[in-house]
Amino acid sequence: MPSSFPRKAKAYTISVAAVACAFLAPLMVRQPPTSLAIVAGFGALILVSEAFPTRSPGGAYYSVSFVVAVAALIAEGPATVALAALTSGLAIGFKARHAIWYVIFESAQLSLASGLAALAFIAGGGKVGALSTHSFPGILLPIVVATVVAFLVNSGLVATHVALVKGRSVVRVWRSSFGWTISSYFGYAPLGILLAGVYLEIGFAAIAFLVVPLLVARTAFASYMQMREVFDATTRGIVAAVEAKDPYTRGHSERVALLAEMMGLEMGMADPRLQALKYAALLHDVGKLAVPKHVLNKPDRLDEEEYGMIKEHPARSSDVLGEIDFLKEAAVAVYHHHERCDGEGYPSGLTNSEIPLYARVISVCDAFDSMTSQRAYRRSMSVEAAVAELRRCCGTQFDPDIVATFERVIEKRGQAICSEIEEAVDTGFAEALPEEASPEVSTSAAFA
Amino acid sequence: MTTPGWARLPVIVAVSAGIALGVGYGLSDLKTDLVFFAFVFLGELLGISLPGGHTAAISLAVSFGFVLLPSGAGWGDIALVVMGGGFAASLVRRRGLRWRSMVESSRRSLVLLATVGLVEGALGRITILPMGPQRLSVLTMGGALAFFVLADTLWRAALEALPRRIPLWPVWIGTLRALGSLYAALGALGSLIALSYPALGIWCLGLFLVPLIATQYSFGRFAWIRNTYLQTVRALSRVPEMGGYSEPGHTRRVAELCLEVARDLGMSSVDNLEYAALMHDLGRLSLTDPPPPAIMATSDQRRELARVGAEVVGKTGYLEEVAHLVRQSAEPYRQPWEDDDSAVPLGSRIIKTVSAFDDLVRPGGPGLTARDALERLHLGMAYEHDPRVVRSLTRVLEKRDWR
Repeated sequence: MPSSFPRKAKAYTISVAAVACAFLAPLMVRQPPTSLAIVAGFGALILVSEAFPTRSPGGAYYSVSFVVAVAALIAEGPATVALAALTSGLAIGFKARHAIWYVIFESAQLSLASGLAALAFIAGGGKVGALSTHSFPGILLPIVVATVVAFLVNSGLVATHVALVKGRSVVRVWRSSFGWTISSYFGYAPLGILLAGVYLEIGFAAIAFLVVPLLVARTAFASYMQMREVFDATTRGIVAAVEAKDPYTRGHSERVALLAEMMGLEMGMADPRLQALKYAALLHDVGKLAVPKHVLNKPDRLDEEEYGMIKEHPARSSDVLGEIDFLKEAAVAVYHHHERCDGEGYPSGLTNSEIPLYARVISVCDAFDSMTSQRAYRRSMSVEAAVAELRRCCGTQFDPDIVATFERVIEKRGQAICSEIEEAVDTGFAEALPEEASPEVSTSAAFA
Repeated sequence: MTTPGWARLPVIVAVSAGIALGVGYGLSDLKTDLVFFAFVFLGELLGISLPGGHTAAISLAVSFGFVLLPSGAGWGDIALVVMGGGFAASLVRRRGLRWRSMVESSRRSLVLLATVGLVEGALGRITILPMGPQRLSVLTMGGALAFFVLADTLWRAALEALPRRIPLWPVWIGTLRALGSLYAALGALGSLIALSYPALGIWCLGLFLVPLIATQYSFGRFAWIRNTYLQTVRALSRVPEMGGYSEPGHTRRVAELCLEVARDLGMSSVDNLEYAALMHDLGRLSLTDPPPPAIMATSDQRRELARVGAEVVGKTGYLEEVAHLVRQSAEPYRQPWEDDDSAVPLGSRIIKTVSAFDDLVRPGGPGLTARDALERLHLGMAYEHDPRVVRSLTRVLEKRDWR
């Protein structure tokens, strides 16, 4: 939150609130809510669901208040739902700075969005307060109309607010954070119908029955999200512990994983594959631990046998990954991460597209990080020099397409990468073990 | 998972009971039966694999709903919907899943039939009447659900514990803890289905698929990540061994034996113990040269290794309890002039003793027989090793038939 609340955002909040009042007043006169107790009941439900949002794997927060709004608009009509939605602002609380502006905005926008949705429901042919076997499938069209209206008003108003507060373009904010959330609205709408049916049939008591499973699902999902973090932290911690003894490779895997993840994003990969690529990159060098110390630390040129030992490490890393079901594909990639496009690499001497895609990505990221970090036998290269070197080795060592993608990543997010890498190293697990300087390998393993 | 021969029995009993009830009682409301049959069938197909077996959460909730219908389902209808729906789905499944899903629906149906029979015998029909004597019906319904959950988890626990000859009680508690909230959710949804079906008809079942799928999906994801996490920790526990920092296979053998000892001692939640056992040797990564086995190191060295290992685990920021178990796993179970050091958790004592045992018997070590190694641990009971753990380890090894 910026130190002073932008004036434009204040003006916007006031005008949204004014529109909401102008909308509510005639509604109260023409179709007043049947009972204030019912309004309070639905208001409390909206407040509770806004106060406990669910986090999605993408990091966005959802609340199930739309479920309650749909139930209220079917069962009780526009005035009740618009009044009940006013409680939503209270979920934000008054602790943060400028909180009052957020509270007003949130109440006004949700009241407007759900009130308009309720009117759209009626306009679409929906009947308020009557739900039975005969309502189907006729009720579905008005529900779809109401859902679309709620989505457009809600996301439009919030996106404008975020854009004004952060000083960004409205369209871009809407597209990146809200455009795709319509699917969750359509996921919630059936629940709302259900809630309305149960409420009309039995009353508020039955809502508790629906809350239990939703809470259970939410808790299980939260445990899942937390376990994902535990998983990530443990894997990174163990990798860091393996690397920590060598000041020159410290943080290497972490950085390669970060670069690989950005490459995956640039190539348009989505979650299960992106995660696999990231963990393959993170674990690509754990097998080096199996290479005897005296070989790894040998300052002179390696003889045939010693080089053979070095060549073992992708297979050893791959063995570890192969035991983890969701990294099966990644294990193959790690096995081949020292292959070269001209077939001169190891262990199998594959060429070009025979090399798995993940392996080609990891090999470029690995080489880039080796060049840009300091080693015992040479100083670190600048980013420009390293990229030039990658380009020079296109077609012989690296896949030209992958290198081109890599350049785009560096161009777009170079700054972000540098700071994130620093951060990853600072807050990472690199200091878990006592420092112990030992000279780095001087093989041609990392790049030719 | 291999199924013991006697696990076939419930399937045979369920199929014959289903046919007998269907033929004996006949059907009362064919339309409702068919609707619920279709949803039990569909839910069974959407089932997921959880650790400890296949789970068809959606079918279970729909079955609950059917049994609780206010109009009252007869025995023949229950047999058709609950048993028939489940078995029909099993028949169209892939071969690998068919048997597991049949065992699952047999268990579900038999426990559900027992529940209905019990409540009917004691109190009359267990339908919930929205307009009727609500308090009584809610109580009956709650009691029926509780009975179902207890019986079903007991059955699952027995399947897990009896073939491996481990105590039933802690396994039952563990199963209840793992599945209790899922069953609560399914019970609530099932009651709602029963309440709203008369008013909303078939549409209500379609609408209920949304929260049902959400519940099942969340549990499935959680089970998946838990399983993946365990696999990953197991795989990574081999990393110190790869570099010669600890003996090949040591960590894994220790983890396995620790779990058996823990179950023998009646611990019901063993997840953290397994993680700690798998990671107890991580501290060895900090050594420059591959170290001697723990049994030959001095107690200060061991303590230092445990401290560094715990630090690695603790850095993850989530596994405080695991880190604590690792840290304390080098401590003696009692201090001089005291009976017991309560700061050392039971899990740490188990890891300490089992790890020492493995160091004594593994190939490449002193190579003692299990008997001699136990004798050595007995000598350490005065100070290092908790007598309870040593006795339990002896029992576990006797079961394994080690010499």
